[in-house]
Amino acid sequence: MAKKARLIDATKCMGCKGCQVACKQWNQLPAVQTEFVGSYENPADMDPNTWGRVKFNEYENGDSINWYMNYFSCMHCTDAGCLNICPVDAIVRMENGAVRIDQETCIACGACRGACPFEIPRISDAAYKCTFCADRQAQNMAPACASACPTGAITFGDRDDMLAAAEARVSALQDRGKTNAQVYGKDELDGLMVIYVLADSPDKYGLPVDPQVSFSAYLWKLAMRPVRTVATVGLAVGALSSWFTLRKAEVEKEKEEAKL
Amino acid sequence: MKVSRRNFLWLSGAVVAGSLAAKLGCAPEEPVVEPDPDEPTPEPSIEDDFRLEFASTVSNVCSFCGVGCGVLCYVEDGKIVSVEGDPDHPVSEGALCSKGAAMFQKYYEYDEKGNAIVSPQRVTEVLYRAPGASDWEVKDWDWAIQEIARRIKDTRDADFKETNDAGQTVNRCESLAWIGSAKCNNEENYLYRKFVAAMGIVNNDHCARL
Amino acid sequence: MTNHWIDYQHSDVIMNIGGNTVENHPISMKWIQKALDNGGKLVVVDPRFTRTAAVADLYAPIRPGTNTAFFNGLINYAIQNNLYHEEYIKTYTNATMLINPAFGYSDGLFTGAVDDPGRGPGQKGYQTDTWTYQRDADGNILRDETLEDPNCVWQLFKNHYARYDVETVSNITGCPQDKFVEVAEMFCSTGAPDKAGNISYAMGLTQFTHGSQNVRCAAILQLVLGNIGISGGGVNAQRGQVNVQGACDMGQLFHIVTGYMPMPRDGQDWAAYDAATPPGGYWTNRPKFMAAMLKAFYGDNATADNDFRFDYLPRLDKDRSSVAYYTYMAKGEIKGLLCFADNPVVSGASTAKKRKAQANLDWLVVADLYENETCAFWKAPDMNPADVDTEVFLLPAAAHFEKEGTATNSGRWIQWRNPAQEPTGDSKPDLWIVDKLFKAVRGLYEAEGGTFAEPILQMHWDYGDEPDVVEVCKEINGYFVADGSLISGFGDMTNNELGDVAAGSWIYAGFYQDEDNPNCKRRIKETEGIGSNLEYSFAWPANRRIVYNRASSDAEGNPWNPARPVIWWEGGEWKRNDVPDFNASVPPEDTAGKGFIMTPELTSRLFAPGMVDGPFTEHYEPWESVTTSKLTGDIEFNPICTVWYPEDRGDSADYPYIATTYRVVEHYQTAIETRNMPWLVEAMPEMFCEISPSLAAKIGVENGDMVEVETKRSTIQCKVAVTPRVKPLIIHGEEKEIVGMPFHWGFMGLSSGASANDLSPTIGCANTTIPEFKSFICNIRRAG
Repeated sequence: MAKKARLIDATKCMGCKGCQVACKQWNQLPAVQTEFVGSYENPADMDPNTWGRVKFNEYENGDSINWYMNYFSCMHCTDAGCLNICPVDAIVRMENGAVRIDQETCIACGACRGACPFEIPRISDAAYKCTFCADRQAQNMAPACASACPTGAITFGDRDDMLAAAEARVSALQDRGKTNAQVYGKDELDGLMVIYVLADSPDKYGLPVDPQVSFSAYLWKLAMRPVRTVATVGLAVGALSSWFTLRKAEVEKEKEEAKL
Repeated sequence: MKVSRRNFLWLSGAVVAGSLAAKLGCAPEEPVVEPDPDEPTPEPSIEDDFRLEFASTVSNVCSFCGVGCGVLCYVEDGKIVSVEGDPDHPVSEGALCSKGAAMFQKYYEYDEKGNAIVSPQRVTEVLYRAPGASDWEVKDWDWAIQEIARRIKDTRDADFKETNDAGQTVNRCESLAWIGSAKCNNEENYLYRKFVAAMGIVNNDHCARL
Repeated sequence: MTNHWIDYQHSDVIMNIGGNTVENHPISMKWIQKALDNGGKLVVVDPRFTRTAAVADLYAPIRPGTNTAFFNGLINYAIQNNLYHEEYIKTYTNATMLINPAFGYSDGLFTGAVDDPGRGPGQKGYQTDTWTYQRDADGNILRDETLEDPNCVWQLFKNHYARYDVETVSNITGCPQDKFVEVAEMFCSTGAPDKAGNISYAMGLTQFTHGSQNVRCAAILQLVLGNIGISGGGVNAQRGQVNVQGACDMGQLFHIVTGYMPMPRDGQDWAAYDAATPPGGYWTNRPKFMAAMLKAFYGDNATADNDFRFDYLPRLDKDRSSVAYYTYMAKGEIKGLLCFADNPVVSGASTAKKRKAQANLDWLVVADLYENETCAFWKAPDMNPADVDTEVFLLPAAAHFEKEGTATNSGRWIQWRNPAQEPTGDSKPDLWIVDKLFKAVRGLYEAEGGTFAEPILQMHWDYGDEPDVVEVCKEINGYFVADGSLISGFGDMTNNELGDVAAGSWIYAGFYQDEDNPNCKRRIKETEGIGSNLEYSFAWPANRRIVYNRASSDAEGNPWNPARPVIWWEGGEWKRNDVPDFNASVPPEDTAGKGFIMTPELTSRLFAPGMVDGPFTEHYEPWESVTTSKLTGDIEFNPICTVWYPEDRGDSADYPYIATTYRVVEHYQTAIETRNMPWLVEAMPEMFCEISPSLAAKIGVENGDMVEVETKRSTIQCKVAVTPRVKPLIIHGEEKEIVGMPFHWGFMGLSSGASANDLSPTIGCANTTIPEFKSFICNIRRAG
């Protein structure tokens, strides 16, 4: 199966938040409490019930304004810190490139959030984030965010095609004088499944310029990968096992309560 | 303690891990194959139910602005379970803005457990507020329709003018007023117009001017 | 809209002025983006740098309330720089026609002004006997095809607009001269015959004391540039509500009945109404359309012998818009109000005053999905329920997925809506509610008799025990009285005798022409053409998607732009991408110069004698302003609008800042729906206002602080957003600050907050009485 990607053309994003709400609608996520702090950006952060949101950044540019908006969600990185660090292998990569969390296996330890250069996963009874709408993809439907997008700021397809479209768009923008226009996500973290077309540098959009998986996650990966199975088993019976057991009990309790 | 599905999986996982440990303990030197990044990883076994599998679709039009985007309601057991843009609509081609994408919540909301509940904000009963009262009383439709009709007639009968001071025909009741709506369908607004004409209401408007 | 949403993709330049299309009509951007992908340009003119400005090629600031000056400047720029479309003007406008030499203008007033104290102290009315064409003995309008006669429309027009030079416009509007010239060059480039310019707007043009004139000058600019009737062009009123178009089409307004036919006035009988029929153009058929409506209303009781019961219709005496009648309510003249799916105590002007006025009602009926502020006015923070004797009935209404019927979008597409589920709880469709109410009232009159009961007893009202929406559709569409068969179009009315057809709203003829396969239910998408989608739903009139489309080609029928032809003459016949808006059974020479069939002169009008406040457009200051007009002598604001409460007008010494109101994409109008939808509350949770960093520094507040905004009417508190997207403007050499506020909040709902309209003044457009929400004056300070 070909790798799939979302192409987010921030130069076509108008900040209508159709994507943000469509994500909640499709994934049956309740609203979170927010407050107005002087920006149109809300929710202000990811949350176990907020898997994608529109970022707003405004800059004065001479007598003009650059008001940048872009949809922000899991990047489904090839070099995925969350997947590497997950102590119970609850995070897996799907054939289409998507990085998924199996909430049934997750122990809600939060290591994935710390290991994510974009700080995407959020923890309640388990870790939650964008699923790349795997359930929709299985029905040949685009992810909810892309389906809703009015202007083509979010499109979805084979990663190679999305990358080619992004590069063509950037070159067209540069021809029109937007010399800072650039593609983001092509090589970052060995390739993201979210490709951005940006009019300006990534930090202007609230994206890390050179995202890296944190050193500790690499250590974990380096140390554990060759003996992954052993390590898992070792962990299960080793020094950390008591913590996991405790944590597991907590999680069970939360889940039981949630079911009541 | 109840054994939940998650609990069960965890326990069974522990059993597998335990047996693996025993096995590995016997042959600790056996190399673990490093996955080749170019080879597709085998599809992990997260099963996704498609939540619209048993839903039928009903086409409608978004209830907000005048673009008139097409929407599809997914309906299961007589209840709307999802609302999305209609990809076959020539204007919107499946797109929706935040308001359109949120339309499901005019009917239902998701609670913290992800269960759909009827929107608690909707008014679902006929309510009446008596003069000077500080709260509503629940009433039924028959009562309300009769009481309102009575007030319309009494007001109209008391104040209807067939002629003005100059003796010209005017046939109106100036003490009644009406507001129709850009939220209502054409057929509803048409019947409002007939109603208003029949009663002689001239104080007649709708949100086009507000 | 003269055009439609999909047609936006064909525009070379789109100017969004007095609208904020991203926030208020988001999906329009699908087609604007396609235009941009094709090399088109988007220009945004707005007091604030909006989300639309963020995706535009060019943004120009403008002071709220100065759109007329801006447009007049563009018109003058096109004339002075020879960018106008001369052949179009000669063929399709009244430019060549000669005007009464006595007509003139000076110091803010056109000829014929007389004092009219009824409109308020110092206000005027016009006697329009000089606003007329010169005619020969046979009544034909005199013309000068060379456009040189000093009394021809073109010469008068040129002289009138010449006063709007770039410097003057910049001083009034606050738009820097270089920015204005950039806009002018970009938009006026569409005066080339093969270029299409699109003006899209919304309430940012209409909600002023001179709102109709704002729209007029947008239309005039488009005529001067030859942008009407063509694909990619148009004056596109972006309708803010799902069926605001349809509600107007159904006559849900005080001044019209259905299909934009005027309400009869006091003493006007059938003969007098008939005599007032326009002398030329398609409106000469008005008596047939009126007879058809009366047949639909009164059925067999309406006959030619009894003037189709025309006398049953109530007569209009004066302004009875909701703006006006809330002032009558405040005086105790209104006893009962029925309000369907509307929320005037949040959306109206001076809403604090409106809430108090409602306490003068004996009874109030509200049908809504939610407990809105209008029905709960007695719970408002500034009301004491014990003091409010009004009885209130709150009827739970079904939402749009819970009923069926049609809604008409901005492009005039009448679209069918299918029901998806049963109404929630005990809620009922509005159709059911009004049907039951009518029958109950009629029942009382049958049982008891009463004053002038005939219009009620003789009203044709028979849609079944539970009202069947299809029966209503058939009546609106129209049917032959003889056999009940449905009519298929206007011709069935115009080609038959008065009273042969019953039709509820004549402009909808043909939308439900076949019960088994009604046009409005069609869902066939176009696969080739210019996007007209003629087999998808039905657009009034006559399924036409671009109106005035004769003007898409020249006198000989050659399309101005062969790449985007709408209707064109080729090989001895008319070829079409749309339904012709003219008689297409005759060759082009017979319709040349007759492209606008709804005016008696069959042309569009650069000079419009039908406007109450003048045939040409003139800049007047808003009622409340931070400056004075330098162009109109002693006249400051529109001299023709009605001043209801002179004492409510603030002075800029006390209220030095310009206030304006608007919407955001996350909420809808008074937001009683969206403030009760958690995902949207989450996305935009609270009331706020927006000010510039310089104003914030001056009053000592920072982003997110609470502020108090005060006008002569009221004071509100809300959070403040401090942003460079709002900038002060230089007006006649002085820096003026703007305070922007969304008007979405009220005291009810999941998200409650202060209502911006507590602050807005009760004053409306001279032609329409739409309130001046978009420009008034205020003060602002840190709260507490």
